[in-house]
Amino acid sequence: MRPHSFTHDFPFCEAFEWIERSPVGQFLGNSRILFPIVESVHLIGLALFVGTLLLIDLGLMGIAMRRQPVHQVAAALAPWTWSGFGLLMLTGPFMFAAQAAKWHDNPVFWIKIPLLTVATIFQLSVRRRLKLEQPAKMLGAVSLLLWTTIGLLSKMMEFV
Amino acid sequence: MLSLCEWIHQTQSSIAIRESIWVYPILDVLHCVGILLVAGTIVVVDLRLLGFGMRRVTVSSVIAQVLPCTLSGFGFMFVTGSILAWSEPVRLYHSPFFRLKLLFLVVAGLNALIFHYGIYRGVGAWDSASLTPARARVAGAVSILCWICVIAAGRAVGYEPV
Repeated sequence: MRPHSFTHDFPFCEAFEWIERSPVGQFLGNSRILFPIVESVHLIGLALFVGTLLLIDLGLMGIAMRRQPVHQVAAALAPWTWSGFGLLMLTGPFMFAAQAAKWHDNPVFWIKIPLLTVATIFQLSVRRRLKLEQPAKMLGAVSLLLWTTIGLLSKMMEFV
Repeated sequence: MLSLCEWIHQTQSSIAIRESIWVYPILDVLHCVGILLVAGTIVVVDLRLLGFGMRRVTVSSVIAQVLPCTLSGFGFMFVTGSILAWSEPVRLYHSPFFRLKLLFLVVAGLNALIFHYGIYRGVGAWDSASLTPARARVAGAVSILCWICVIAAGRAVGYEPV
């Protein structure tokens, strides 16, 4: 029996359905209190991630945090940026599992996840290799643009 | 207060925002961006006060550099939040989580004022110390807790039954 009739022909619809019907998906989907709690933790992680990343990116662009070298700002804040990222990655999949079939039908979801993958790879590889001794305007701007877009898409997913 | 909310609720502008297809979601998105900016940047100041980050930079330098970002985020959050509240004042009046959120906002504001006009006046004496005075550490901890509660309570407002 299919609980959902998918309106869009995106791939993996059986897999998404299976996730939503798994014990984890059912447990979160049926709990009226747990989901908002997980979502709040997700948002707190997002605040930590976006806020610290914003200061680093603005530093790279030479707009804020100009009184000390950018690499010092980045080194001091990176543990908190990654803690925020950890909270996001920890809670995101659970939120997804609760409504997997709904997200399958959401076009914005299919833009968000690939973009998130790109941004994460960008963050891990490109930035780590640079020495960040001088302002790197492009790097900061691209990072800021990528993550802002992902954040906006995530909120927009609710309304689509 | 309730009658004031009811009066706002039936004004043209309130109805227009409430029933709009685009305005409400866009305001909601911007409001979220604003609160993330506020909480996400002020936490850097709080962490410095608690001795968990940027210890090599003086406290006053961290505050001077971060505060413009925080305050612009706050302006953003406040304006969009006021318009959102204007669009559904009666529901918010009855919402316990909305009251909690306002309470935590007020506590966060008072905490910042007490810090700023209290221990921070003598910042010269402990500006470059990695271990700040107890009162400054308390201010940092209270601020972090308040903003976590503001975010959580704000999110909960959206899940309350109408």
